[in-house]
Amino acid sequence: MRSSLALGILLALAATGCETHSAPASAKSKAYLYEDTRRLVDFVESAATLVEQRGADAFQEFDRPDSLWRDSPTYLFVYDMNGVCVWHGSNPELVGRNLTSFRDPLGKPVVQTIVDVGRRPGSNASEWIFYLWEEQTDFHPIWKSSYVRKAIAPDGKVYILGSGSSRIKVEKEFVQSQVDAAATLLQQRGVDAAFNELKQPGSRYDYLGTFVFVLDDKGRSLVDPSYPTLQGRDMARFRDAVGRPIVQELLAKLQNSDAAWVQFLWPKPGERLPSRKLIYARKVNVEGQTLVVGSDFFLATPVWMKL
Amino acid sequence: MARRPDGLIYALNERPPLATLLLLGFQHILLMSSTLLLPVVLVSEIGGSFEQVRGVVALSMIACGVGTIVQAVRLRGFGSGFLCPNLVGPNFFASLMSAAWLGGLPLMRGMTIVAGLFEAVFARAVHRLRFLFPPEITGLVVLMVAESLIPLGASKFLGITYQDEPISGTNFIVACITLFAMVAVNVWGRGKLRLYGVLIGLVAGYILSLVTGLFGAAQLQRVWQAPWVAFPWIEGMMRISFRWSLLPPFLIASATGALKTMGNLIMCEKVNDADWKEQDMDRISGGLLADSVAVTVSGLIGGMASDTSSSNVALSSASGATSRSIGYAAGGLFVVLGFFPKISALLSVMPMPVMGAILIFVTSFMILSGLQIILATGIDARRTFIIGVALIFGLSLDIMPELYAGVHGWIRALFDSPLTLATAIAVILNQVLHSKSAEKLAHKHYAGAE
Repeated sequence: MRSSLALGILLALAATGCETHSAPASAKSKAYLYEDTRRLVDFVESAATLVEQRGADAFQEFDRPDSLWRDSPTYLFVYDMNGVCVWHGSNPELVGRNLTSFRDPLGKPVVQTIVDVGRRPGSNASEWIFYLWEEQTDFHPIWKSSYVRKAIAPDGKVYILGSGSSRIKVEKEFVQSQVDAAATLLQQRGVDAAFNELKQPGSRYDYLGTFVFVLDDKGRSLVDPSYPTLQGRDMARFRDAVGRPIVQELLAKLQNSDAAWVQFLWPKPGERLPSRKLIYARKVNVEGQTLVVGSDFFLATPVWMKL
Repeated sequence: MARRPDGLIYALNERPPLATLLLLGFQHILLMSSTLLLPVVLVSEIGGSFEQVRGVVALSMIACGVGTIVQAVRLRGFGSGFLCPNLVGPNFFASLMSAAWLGGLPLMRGMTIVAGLFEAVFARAVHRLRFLFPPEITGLVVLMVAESLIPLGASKFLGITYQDEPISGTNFIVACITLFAMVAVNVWGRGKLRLYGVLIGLVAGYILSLVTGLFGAAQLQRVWQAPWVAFPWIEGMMRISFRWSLLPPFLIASATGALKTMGNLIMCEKVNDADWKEQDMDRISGGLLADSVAVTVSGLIGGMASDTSSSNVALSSASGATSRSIGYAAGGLFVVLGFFPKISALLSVMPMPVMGAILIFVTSFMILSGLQIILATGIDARRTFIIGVALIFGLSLDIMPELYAGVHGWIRALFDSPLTLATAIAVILNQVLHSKSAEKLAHKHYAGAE
């Protein structure tokens, strides 16, 4: 009896430190590898479902002091199609203000990009948006990833809901989406205009500390935002931390398919031991030439694994 | 002559009835399966197909089964005769990953064979190294082996895979109840019920995981897709390659594995002998040779390098069943299950909280065994510093790895695992503090005090 009571107390105490108060899992979140990404997507999807069912009345549910939308590590924000904030879980003073002119330190039009998701076809369009976020008490801005989702209320009014976090790890989905968008940009606007856009620090292709690059079909660098002074260098000679010719492997894979993933080892900035890195690239035929558009990122390492 | 400990239900040379033997063997298999996730991760990471993953898992199971059987054998100079099962070795994982990236499965196999042969050489030399490993240092080795299980056990218990993830409340509660079931059977269980503590906890954990959705469609789909019977095979199975640049990390992984096996075998000796005072180096040498055969076989057939399992040794102590017959049963069953992919898939998708609870349960036994061995010979000023200093710097490698980021050259190899670092420091300090000049100084100081 005494031991059961002790176990019960232990469980109750321990459970208070756990996150048990979370939104139900949605179909969209299954595409992601990391639990914190899935939780953020479920959080926004759950709020969007509520707005789709109850329209503006859902905001009263959000307002409840013990609601999931307030009692959560991340907060919810809601905009209308004009860029007016209609609900904000962290800063209620923003409600009623038109924030379309808000830009991040790189010049990215954050709220305008959020509102653009509402113009997408499909009633449940969604998008990840990456921007630098400035806190009042931080010396440096930090990258933030926000998941935003279009929701149509029963009265036909369109809202865009979202939530962001600076702790979201880079997902394969993020990289694939950025590279696919860059490939479309090249095909729609041509080489010169697309290259200019890709090189802009405030473009959507500069994200989470990485960028989109372009190589020719021999591996020569054409767009390389991190090395603007070394344009034209021969990346086919690049070898990873254990000596693998990564770019050559990538080009070989792209001989037989339009898209390819290649994993390699490289040390993170400031670290000596190599970590796992992944490149995603696509082959694009534009203006009579074959280009390789790609981006790379460090994979997260399980906490129990030393690599 | 060893004295049979009172707490044992089935001692080393006793054979349980067939049904009990199979159940106990099955219980060990469940633990041996706890690292089958590693070949899945490794082959997936290098872009291997589903068939390759299945092939490497099956071949790893066969190698571990063979290792468990040869370890239970006691021939002249070969095998320890203990129930000391093998599993896929986590200490080889980082080196194997580098090899797999660099040269695919053929290089992984070649380097594994070299690691196995290196352990065989170590096994033949170990009886001459007795002076390096007095009981307090072997106890430290056991303790540090237990320490190496903590990251995997604690993260699975809390339901966390990647940094910054919140603790999963459901996962945590299921893990607590599973652990409590195992502890309750062990503490309050009477008679032969104590034999099945892990099995009972595991059944409770699987049921709770199913009810709470922690073990659901995604995991069962992998089981569903696997065929019932298949001959283990991987494409390019006959290719083996070698690379000099990978030799140092593999030799270190092999040395760490040998130290861990030594710790496990010492624990086996202690569990099976109520009068245990110090290790039997001939027996340990035979056990290391059997382990080297298991590692070499892993490489030859195309599995992931195996290693003796600390958690299984702790389980045999916790359940009171250390019979070597259980080793034959568990090893044989593991080999057979390698030919049944559906069952091996079911074993390799163990729910997180269940795996976490099992690891915490068995690690507790390991920690206490290590401490008991350290304290068994009494503590004096020398031993205090030998163990204290080695523990401090060994643990510091896990707590603050960045402290050692600037260590370069051949000595870097010592800083790859807390087990290696702590053991090296303890061995060196032991030699320094027991050198003739140190003895003289201590004697002079003692005489002066008189």
